[in-house]
Amino acid sequence: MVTSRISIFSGRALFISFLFLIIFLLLIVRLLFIKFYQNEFLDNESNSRFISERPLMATRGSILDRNDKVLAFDVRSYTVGLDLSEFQSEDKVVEGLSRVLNLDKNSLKAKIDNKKGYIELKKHISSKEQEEVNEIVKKGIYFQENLRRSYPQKNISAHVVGMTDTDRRGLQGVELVLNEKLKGLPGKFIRGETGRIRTEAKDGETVKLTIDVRLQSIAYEELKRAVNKSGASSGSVLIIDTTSADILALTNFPSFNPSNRKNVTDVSIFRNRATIDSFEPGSVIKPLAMSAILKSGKINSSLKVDTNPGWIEIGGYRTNDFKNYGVINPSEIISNSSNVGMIKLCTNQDSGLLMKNFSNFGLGKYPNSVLIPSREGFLPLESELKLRDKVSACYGYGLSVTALQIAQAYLVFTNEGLFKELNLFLDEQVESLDEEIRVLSNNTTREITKMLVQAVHSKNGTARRAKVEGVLVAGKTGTALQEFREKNIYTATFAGFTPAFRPKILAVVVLHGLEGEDHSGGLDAAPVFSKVVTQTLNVLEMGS
Amino acid sequence: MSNRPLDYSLNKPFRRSKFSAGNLFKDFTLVLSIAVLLVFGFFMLYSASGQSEFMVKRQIIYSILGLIMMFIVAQFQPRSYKPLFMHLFWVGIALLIYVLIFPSQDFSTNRWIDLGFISFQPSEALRLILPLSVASFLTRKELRPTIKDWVTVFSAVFLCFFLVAKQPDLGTALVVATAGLLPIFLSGFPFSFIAISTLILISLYPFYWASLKEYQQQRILTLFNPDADPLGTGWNIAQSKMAIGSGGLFGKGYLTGTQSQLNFIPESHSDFIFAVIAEELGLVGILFLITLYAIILWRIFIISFNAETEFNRLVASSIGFIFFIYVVINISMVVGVLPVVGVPLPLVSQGGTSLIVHLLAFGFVLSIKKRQTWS
Repeated sequence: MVTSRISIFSGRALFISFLFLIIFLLLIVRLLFIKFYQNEFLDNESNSRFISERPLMATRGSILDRNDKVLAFDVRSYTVGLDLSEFQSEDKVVEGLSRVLNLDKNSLKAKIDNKKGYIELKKHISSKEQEEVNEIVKKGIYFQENLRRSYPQKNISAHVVGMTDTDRRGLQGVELVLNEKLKGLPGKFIRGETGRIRTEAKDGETVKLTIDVRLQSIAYEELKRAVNKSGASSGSVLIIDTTSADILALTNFPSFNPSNRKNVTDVSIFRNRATIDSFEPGSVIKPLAMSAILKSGKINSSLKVDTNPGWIEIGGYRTNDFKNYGVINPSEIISNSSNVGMIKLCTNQDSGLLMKNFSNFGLGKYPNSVLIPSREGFLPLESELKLRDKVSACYGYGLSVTALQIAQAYLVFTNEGLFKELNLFLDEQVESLDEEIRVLSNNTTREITKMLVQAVHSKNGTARRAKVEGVLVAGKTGTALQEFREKNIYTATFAGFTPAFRPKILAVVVLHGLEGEDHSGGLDAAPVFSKVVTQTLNVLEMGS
Repeated sequence: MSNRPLDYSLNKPFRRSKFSAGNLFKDFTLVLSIAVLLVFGFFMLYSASGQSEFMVKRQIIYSILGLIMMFIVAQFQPRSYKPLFMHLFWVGIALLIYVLIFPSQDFSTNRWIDLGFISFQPSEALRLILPLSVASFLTRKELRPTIKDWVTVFSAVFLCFFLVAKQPDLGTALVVATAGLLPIFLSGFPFSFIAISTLILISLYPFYWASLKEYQQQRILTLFNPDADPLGTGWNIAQSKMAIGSGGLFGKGYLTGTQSQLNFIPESHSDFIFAVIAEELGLVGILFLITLYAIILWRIFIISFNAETEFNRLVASSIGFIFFIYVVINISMVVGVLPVVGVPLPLVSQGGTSLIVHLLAFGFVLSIKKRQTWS
């Protein structure tokens, strides 16, 4: 039988294909072996083969406020040096150098004439000066590029903006949390015997904050004055734009200059107290508790509560009012800040609903969209609440919050009962929850606001000193006993917003470590609010 | 054919317009893969040549020239050029003898013919002419080849091998010989003869070894122990292995491979361009390259298996296998499995003659593709 040509061909073609395929597969195996098995060894071998590698620095992105005022940026500077073996000393050139670099001509000339090799002339000259020097000296001049982080606002916005370490990594604040975005990508320059590779650096992105530098500095200056005057150990002020939930100012005192931290001995001043220090807030929480009580429908605002004799004993502990207020209605409980009244209203409330309500206001939760290092505070679990703990929580004890959380909670009263996350970053640079969650009904919000207005504007209100000329202010003071030493130590708080029924601005003032009995939220924190908000309204009227 | 209207309309699908895109390309997948490979090659050549625009421009001009020739050849019917190849063989032989007698001044080995504006290697051309001539000779009659035919083709292949090896260019000589042997094997050369000739070759090996030039012997010795002399002959292999190994999965980035950009890889733009790809684009780049080659081979074999005549089948499959051999030899060389024999990576390495010959070969494959009648 004779095999046909076509079948001979296909058989043989397949035979060769098969043979080649096996060879090819073996090759790929060999390749993978080199790539993965010998990878590390060969990588080291290859890296040991170039002569020098120099990083090319990437400019770190700037941090700007809402009106493009610079909060942090990179300054590019140069160090000038001369290689005297190449440099040709001429009178004209030396004179030009001394003029541009602002160095004494004679000592410069002496240096050039007497020394050999490489000498450093001056550090930190600007790029404009560098160009001028380049014009004058043609040969033997060398520049080394330096980048330095600079914070033109110094102490005022130190905690929000944060700081960087010597390796230019973010350590705190926005510098820390948006480090990846800000840092950019360094390039490199590799030199071998026969060639060179240059990979350009990619500069970091600019970050824009909701902060308004003008308000930030008003808040800082007023806070500084108040802390110094009252003898407080520290304090924080927050200003919020209630329509957009933007944080316009967030400042702490004492503060530090991020560009010059050499002389700092007490590292606690690096802490962003407004977001990190959590404390028992005291009476400033009462409106939150009152809103839960109103929501439960168990009382109405015309109810009369007997607070005689100005104290009450419950669960083995005695609680005092500032003085005996007699028979008062719920509005007066808030405006006089009556602990006894709150306890009486709270006793028959459901503790689950109370805690749920606090949680809806953002208590016990991390502020997600603010990003900068924060604490979530403490909110007790419903199952662990005894009667005593429940009534304490109603006037702000047995739980802890940060100043930022107080602002976040009061934002609900200004936003028709809807919870809205605070922003620190403009233009959706950070993903945030856009959804607004209803915490209170419109009616309840209005009832609470009326009570808060009473606290500021009524004759006996505790927050009388928070008044701002020409507008209606709604707000609540808080005075919380933090610890007992020889003297009692208090935290004074004020949270309020204005105009009361069409809010624009919300501000929170917290002063920590006030010693002695002549301190309270009404006396120390409320006046700061008044001063800060008065100036804020003026600035905002001027426009940006 | 009658002129009745009905017949006319029935025959209409057979009429092909002369210059439709489908006819020009014949096999779109094949042409597209070739084009992508060429463009990929330009980019890698730019990196491997130390970012020489001149070299890339020249390569682009050669590619365009080659593509034009490919499209022209693709338009011919195989039967029209089949008889021509028995004569072209003698032209190739003549050119090989010419370079041996009149060596070009600019090059150390006698491979080149300098035409003033362009110089080319006849040995490169021969590796296309030889298999086509052999296929043409073996299929000139309808009958199976006789013993006399076998002897004739073997003599022709040996003559070519001898002339190219004399240049001396052992690598290309072996490729040329393989190119000639492929159609012989594929057209049914008896296995008994294969066994006998293999035995003869092995017995002749010691004499052959003695006839090699010293540097050729060195290359082969180096292969078996490249680390013995890493600064001498083992240098090429050691450096390219380093480049491949340090490339990792995604490579060091285009234009930033330290081995290639700092000129540690020898001949990085020609024979060792694979090492540059491996270093800068990593395993991903290699897989991309191999996939392109695989697509090209797959298309060529599809065309070969569907070919209408024995000659067509032999030509297409021989071209496919030669292409495959080039890829395999080059990669083997770079990863240190074969000695450094100077075989370029097809369509990617710098080199005009090789590029044009490869593209011409694809032209023949395309011309073999069955004409589509109607769908």
